[in-house]
Amino acid sequence: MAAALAGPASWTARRDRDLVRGLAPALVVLAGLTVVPGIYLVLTSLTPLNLASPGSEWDFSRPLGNYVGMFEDPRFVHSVGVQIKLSVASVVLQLLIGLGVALLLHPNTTVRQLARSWMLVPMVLPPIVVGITWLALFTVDISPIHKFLAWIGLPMAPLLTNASTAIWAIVLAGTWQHFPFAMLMALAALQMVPENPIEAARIDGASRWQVFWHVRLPFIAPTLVVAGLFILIDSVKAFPLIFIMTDGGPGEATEVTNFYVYRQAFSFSLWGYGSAIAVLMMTGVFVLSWVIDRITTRNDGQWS
Amino acid sequence: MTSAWQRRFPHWRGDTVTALLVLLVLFPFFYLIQMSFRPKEDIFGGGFFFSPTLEHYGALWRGNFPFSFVNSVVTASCATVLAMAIGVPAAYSLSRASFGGARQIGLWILVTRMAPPIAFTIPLFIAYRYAGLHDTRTGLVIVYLTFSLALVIWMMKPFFDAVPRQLEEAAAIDGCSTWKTFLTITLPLTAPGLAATAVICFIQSWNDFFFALILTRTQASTAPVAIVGFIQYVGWEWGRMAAAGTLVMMPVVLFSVLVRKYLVRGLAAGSIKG
Amino acid sequence: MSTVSLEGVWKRFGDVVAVRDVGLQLPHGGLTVFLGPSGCGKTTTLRMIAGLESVSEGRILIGERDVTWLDPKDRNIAMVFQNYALYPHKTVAENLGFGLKIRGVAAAEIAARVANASQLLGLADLLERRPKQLSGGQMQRVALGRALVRDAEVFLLDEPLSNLDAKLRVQMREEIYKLHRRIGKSMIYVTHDQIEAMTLADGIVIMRDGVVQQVGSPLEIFDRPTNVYVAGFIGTPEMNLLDMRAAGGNLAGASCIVSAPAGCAIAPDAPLKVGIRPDHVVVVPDSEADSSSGWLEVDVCEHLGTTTLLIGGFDGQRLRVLTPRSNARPGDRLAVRLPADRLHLFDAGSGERIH
Repeated sequence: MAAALAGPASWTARRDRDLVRGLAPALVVLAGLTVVPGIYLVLTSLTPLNLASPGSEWDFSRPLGNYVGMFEDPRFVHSVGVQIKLSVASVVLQLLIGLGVALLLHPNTTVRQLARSWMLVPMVLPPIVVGITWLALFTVDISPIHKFLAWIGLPMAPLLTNASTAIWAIVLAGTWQHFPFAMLMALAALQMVPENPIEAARIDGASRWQVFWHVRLPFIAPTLVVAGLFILIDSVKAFPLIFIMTDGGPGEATEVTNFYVYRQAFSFSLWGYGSAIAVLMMTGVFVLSWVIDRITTRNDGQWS
Repeated sequence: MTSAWQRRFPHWRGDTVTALLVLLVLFPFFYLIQMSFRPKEDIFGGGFFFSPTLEHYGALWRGNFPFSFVNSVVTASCATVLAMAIGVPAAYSLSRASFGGARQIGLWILVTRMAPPIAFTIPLFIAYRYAGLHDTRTGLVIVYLTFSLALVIWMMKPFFDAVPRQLEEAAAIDGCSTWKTFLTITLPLTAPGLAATAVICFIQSWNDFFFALILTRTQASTAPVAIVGFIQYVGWEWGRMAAAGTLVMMPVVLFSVLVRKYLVRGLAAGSIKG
Repeated sequence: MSTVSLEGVWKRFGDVVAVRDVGLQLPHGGLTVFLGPSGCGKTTTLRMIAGLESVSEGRILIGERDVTWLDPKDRNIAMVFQNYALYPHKTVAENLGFGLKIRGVAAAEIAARVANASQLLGLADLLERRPKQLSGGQMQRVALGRALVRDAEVFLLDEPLSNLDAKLRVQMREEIYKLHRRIGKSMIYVTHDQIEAMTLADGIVIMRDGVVQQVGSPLEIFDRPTNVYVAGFIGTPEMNLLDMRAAGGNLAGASCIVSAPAGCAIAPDAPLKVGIRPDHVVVVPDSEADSSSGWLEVDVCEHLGTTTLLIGGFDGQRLRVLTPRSNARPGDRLAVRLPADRLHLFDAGSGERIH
């Protein structure tokens, strides 16, 4: 490429120049809208910025004050605990259910092909709509589910108002909403399992379960790992369901880290502190994204 | 000994389970829709039969909701159009790039997609206040553009990767310049991908709640935020909430059914081929 | 008179040298074949002539013009790709005419040239079809037609027949041969198949690891390979290459002596590779066995119908002998003679031809 400046350029060099011109606007926009706010976020995290106290945005006297304070803040630590519960439960449940439904929908009958489209509905609904629906379904006086359970003699206590069950109600709603993602990825991976090893296993006398465990599962495992990572990252962003269904409560029972930051910033105006937590979350997201990138690019090379 | 019926429908057992499962899974969805048509007195009634009414939709229409709905349409559409215009050529460049750094850009885009919105809202909130973009549709479009752009590039790149380079070399020998090849040869071959990407992009912006909540108040509030407004009223206007919810989710459901084949790619950010 | 010339052309991909110091002068109107195994640099060289790859060092000339830095579209070349590279969303007629359309040629002229080319290649009925409705052979002809319509100076073909099945390949080979005679333009044809090279080429360029091994007409290369590699590459069944040393005026193997060809000067005791084609080895009746013949311990008999290929041990090495139909069986011991005038002598170290 250096030769392009010094002397005549080749077609490939000219083509590269044209391509860069096509890429530039996007890079400029992205840089402006991600890098600049990102830098600002980091800077803010180093201050005790409080919208209520003027001048606090330039106070760099204790740059790591927010970060240190985080680990001494019981409410923050608690929110991390809640987050872990939510994230682990989300990944496990969504993968299991997604994989299970994918196995059910794998054969190519008309009914199942139709089902594949219909199963997508929860995933594309606006989260707020999912929130109000499940809010209704969890409210004892209203919900047909509660009424049905009472009718068959298994009355259930309200879940959302109970501190120990609220988070699991959120998990249930969230799993309903997001399982189709894992299902789609598992389905796509199952379609790509080659026929030969399966036939060979059948000839060897393997049962359906054995065929699954020894042949299909190893093939789709990498996809499931990547799906799990995506679910994990997504669970960190959980907000609308919590906002609508419990508002972080009862108490702080459903206050995940993301929600806690929202509280800090918008209820207490503690933007500096909120920024610091946000920076921490971004670091986690970055690491997980890097892992995903590593895995998928290696797989691309293997599968071409 | 399989009966004729069993032979014709060899998977009938699984099919029945599947059908039942679909009904079970979609129950909440249908529940909300039917609630929006139930008369107010009977809104939580258990009976299957009721006389459907449009009173909730009427109340919505007379209120502020259409205004928010229009905001949703405008912001989501603008963001999608802009994201496609800027992102599609960018995705093509990344696909054909022989310069270094393409991998890093890919990672950057993934991180942008995966980042929690709160990380952007704090700086943007302050910036918008200064720039007078708070509670404006422009402000929302700018935010949506960021994520939509990342999504468009992420989704379209595999489509471009799938177009063989030799086709473009043949076009070059036939006399096309880089971007002429792109327009006459490559782009037509990725038309389904373009349609799917645009739809998924629109859906993502349409469904947004967080940014609209934080960055808008009254002028630019979008439909999802408006739904929340019904909770503030005394007594919780369930009928109207259900109607609003149904209206907000209908476009999305319809579009999704159209592009279901490409949803994996869009929502999975391209980790497996096909 | 336009020729294609390469002067001191190198191609590097990072640290890897794909093409090393290639200099060629290809004759006007001839069909030149670049022949060699995968990775030998033949396709890279072709692509550099097309302009699809940049040149690291050196010059490329088409006719009198230095095209080294020109875009492919300005070089007046046409190319047929291995996978045909037909535009899937265009009809056959549109595929054929696309290059002219881009150049702003009048619609009537385009139609005329498309009609002409499609008639020549038997595509007249297929003009409204799309590529996915065509068979492999038909797609191949459309790819050829696309190049024809452009009326370029030089035609470049990158392994055009390798995606076809054997029978179709033979058919298309004939068609390409006739097409070339008909249009009289320079063609450069890349392949790894020596049969295609031998049957189609006016001149062959054999390449290996980026270096040109030999340039010549098919028969020249067949009769006088310049090194061991070319000797083993051209000719089916493969040429025998035996390890021997020079001894006096003869060649000595482990246990036999063979007379050396007349008039060749070899250093005494030099290690040699002696080449002889399987069909040049003479089987003599046992009664005529003498000091100038050796013994073949037959291992494998491949009866090919009119001929028989005998493979076995000779002087502690493997020898292949192609004879007219024979009754020999594995385990037989036959006397064979290696006529001096059929021997090719190569230096054992460098592989270069000595005689």
